[in-house]
Amino acid sequence: MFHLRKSFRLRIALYSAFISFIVLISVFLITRWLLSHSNEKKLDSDIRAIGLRQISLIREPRFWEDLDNVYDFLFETQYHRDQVMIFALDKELQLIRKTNELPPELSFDKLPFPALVKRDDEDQALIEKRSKRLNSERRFGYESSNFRYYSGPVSDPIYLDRYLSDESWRLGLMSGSREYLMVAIHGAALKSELRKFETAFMASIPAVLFIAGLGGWILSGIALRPVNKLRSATQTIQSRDLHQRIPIEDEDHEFDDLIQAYNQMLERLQRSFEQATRFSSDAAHELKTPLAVLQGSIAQAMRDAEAGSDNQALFSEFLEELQRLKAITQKLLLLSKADSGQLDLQKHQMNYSEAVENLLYDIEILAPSLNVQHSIQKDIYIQADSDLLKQVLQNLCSNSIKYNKPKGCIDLSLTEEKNHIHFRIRNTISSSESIDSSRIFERFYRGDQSRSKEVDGVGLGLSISAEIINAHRGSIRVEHDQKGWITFLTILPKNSCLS
Amino acid sequence: MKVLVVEDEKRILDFVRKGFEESGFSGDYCANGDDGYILAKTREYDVLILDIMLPGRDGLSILKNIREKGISTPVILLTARSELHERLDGLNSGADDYLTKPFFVEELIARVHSLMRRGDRQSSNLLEVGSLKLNRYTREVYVDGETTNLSTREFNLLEYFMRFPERVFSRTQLLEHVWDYNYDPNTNLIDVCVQRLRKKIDEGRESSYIESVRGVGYRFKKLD
Repeated sequence: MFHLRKSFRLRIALYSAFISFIVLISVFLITRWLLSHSNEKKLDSDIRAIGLRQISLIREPRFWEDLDNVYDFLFETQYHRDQVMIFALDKELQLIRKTNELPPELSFDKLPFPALVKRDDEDQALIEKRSKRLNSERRFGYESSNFRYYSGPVSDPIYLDRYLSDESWRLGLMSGSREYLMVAIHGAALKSELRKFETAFMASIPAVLFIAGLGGWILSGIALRPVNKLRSATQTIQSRDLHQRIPIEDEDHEFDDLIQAYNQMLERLQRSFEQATRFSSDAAHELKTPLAVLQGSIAQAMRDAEAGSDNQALFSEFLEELQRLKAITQKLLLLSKADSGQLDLQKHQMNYSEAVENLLYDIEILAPSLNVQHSIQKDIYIQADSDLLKQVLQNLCSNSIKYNKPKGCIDLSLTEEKNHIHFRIRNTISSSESIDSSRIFERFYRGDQSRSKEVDGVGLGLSISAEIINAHRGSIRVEHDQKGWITFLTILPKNSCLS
Repeated sequence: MKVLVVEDEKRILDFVRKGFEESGFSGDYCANGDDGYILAKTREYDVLILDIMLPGRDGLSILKNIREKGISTPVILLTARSELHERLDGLNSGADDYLTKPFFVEELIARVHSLMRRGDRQSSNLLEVGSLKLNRYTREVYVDGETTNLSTREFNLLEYFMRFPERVFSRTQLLEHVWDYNYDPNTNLIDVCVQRLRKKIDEGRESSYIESVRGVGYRFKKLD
């Protein structure tokens, strides 16, 4: 099943994509603003150019009829014919020339035309001179193409944005000495460029985001590499080998510090762990002498007491309690030895089959109501610490009885396979029992907490068994199936000295 | 038989001494390593019992020194499980057995007996009480001259009883010897095992070899 986990790399990738997005959008907005601003400037200057030309030609009808040529010439077909409107008005704001039909909502009275410009004498002279020249040219039948009428000085245009027929137009209002002129250029005329830019930009966004995200992903991967190294190093460190340190091999100094800090933490951990282990080992050890004194003396007193007397029974009870103390001391000592990796084994040849048969004998006595099945291969010998291995067998056996259901089953088998010996104990468990297979070998773990009170024990048996089996270089596994069976399988090498 | 016990804890030494005396051993008991070493060197014993941690000379150095002097008396070391390195050392330097503290004195005596019989296969492997005969070597039991089949547990239990006749044992003690101390003393293991044993050895008898002691455990009676 897929579920989304919080991921540093994913987050970094998303952040970098997000930042790239923000940068991209601001670049886009600025560029677009600059572009549209310069477009407006250009529109205005075109309006002005058209206006300057047309105002001098107001009285020349043929120039109005041949506008296309004019535009081609002027603006290199930048504007479509429909995108430009020119209206010329006389002093009384009456329309005298037009290139298009007048849009209905346009009323010249309300447009803020600049005031008419006064001609001075110099202008007057120039106009007359031009007019004379034009007339003489006409007489000779040619006209110079770049010839301009001069109709006097012209005001600077006033620019306006208007909606005409629901479309945006840029208007330029100008005035000469005797007439007014309005040039309008469709707002969309220069927009196509902007559109192209916008489209290109929008198209590039996913690609840019993808690249930024991917870059973030890769970069964070690189950044995480020392962390991963630290993690894998950490995973290999067990309580047994806390003395291990993570090597510092020309890492960047930031990670150097991290690894050093981590190593220092390990060292502190190791120290306190060793202290704790030593303490429990020392404590258990120190307990042995008083226990020995107590046990010996009580046993002596019991023997000396009158047979069948109350005193004797009392001493016997003391011995029983002492027994529990001994057992737990022994277990703690064993575990603390295992923790510090000093669980030494006193190995010799032992008859494994006989040990399991003895176990069978015990199970039949301890739990006569259980249905016991077995297949024990005869005469299997093993190099092992017999005291400890018997302890494992007993732990497994007493578990299989304790947690069994009434009139349940136990199935024992001991088989030799190549270089290994398999001991398997399967039993039914009461359905109410909840078992966490991953925690079952933990110290002080006990199945069902509410039920555990009825069942004797402290929850060390299985963790001790696991330690003993591990010390023999074997393995112990637990399987719990839905039909209410639990299986413990221990695998031991036949001769663990060799492996 | 004569033993030397060197153990610095006086009260342990006391109950060990008492146990040995009750079982008919004579011996010397001392609490100091140096004295122990001089005794071991100068007197003859059948078995030496040495604690490892001792004031003065420790148990291991006593052992090494006497072995170097060519004294081959069997040695049992008293140790705690945590002294495993020392225990291994001990076995390497010539100890014959070891016993982990805390122990019952009967266990120690049983170990001494089993050391003794190593040298002598025939006689000391045979235990005989009344009409019961037990051969530890062949692991056979005869009741009125007829063999009886006993399980390992039953055999060990009977052997322990026959080794210490007339002695009261608590269930805990028996459990520790025949099983081990990881078993819960509240179980009925001992009682069932004793019942089965009785069936096999008491056939045709008015009273049982194994007598129940109220509130304590059992005692093996010498029947004629």
